[in-house]
Amino acid sequence: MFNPLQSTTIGALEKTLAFTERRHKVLAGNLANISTPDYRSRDLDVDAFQTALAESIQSRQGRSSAVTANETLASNRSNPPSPLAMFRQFVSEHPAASADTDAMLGDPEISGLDATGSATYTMLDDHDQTSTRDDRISGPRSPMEGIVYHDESDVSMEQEVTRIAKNRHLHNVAIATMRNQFDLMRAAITERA
Amino acid sequence: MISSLDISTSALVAQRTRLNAISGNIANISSLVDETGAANPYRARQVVFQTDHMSEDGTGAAGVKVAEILHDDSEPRHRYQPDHPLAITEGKWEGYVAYPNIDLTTQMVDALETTRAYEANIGVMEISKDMSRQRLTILA
Repeated sequence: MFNPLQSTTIGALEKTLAFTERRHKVLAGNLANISTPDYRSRDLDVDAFQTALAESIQSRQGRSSAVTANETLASNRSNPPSPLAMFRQFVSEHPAASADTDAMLGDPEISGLDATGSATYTMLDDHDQTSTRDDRISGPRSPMEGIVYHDESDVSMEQEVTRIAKNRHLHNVAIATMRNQFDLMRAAITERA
Repeated sequence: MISSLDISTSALVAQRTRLNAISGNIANISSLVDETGAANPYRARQVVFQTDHMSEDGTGAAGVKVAEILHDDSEPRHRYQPDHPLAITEGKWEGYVAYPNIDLTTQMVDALETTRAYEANIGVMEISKDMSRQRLTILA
């Protein structure tokens, strides 16, 4: 494959970063509304995100292994295709790639979870019992999870602070891993360790 | 697109307004006349917050704003001081002076709660700053 970023996990890390950034905003909103009557805490569902990410990575791996098999056949010929021809073939196979850098860096399958797909992140209030919960937002919480105070608000400062701290940790881990991969790639490009 | 720093700032502004109201309540704990000079004891102010739906961008992240400032309608505290120039001259409370009905303990607890909420939001801002700093290190 012509795309050198395809062999790294930078695409998945990028999605993780976008997700943690989004989640940080939602959690900051919870803490901002700590004294607001009737406010119900909101969250993005981490498990649903991880599952969706894992599924897209798996489906992508299945597809790219098929592509690799084709390539092996092609490279067995005496005249391997030039990189430019391979790039043209790649662009024709992935029409989105020419315009959308997202598709170049990561997996188009995950793009439903990216920062631009705001519809994916529509938030549900726990208040709103009529809405369906079939999206990736946090589902119904158990009644004992949060104490509801006299002003009908259930924001607990301790819980929110823990969530924010965990989210920041995930964010920083993703960044550290991403830097590491860029360093490795730079080392390979410059042929220097 | 509203950033997490803006959300925390909205909370800082709201909590600051609440602390101002509490300071005013405590400062006016013995104010017997209103701004026109009439004998009308000070009414405690209470700040009510509201989720700022204007700042919502479909992601569920929302700031906070001051919905309204309520005036305490409870009965003033009456103290028997017949020699006081502002003593009530007729009716049931003859010889009494109307004092503001402000409970100092309640106000102090509210002030503490407000301070803690303010600090918590400052903490979130620090984390937001740290996250964006970390993001910039990808470039380096």
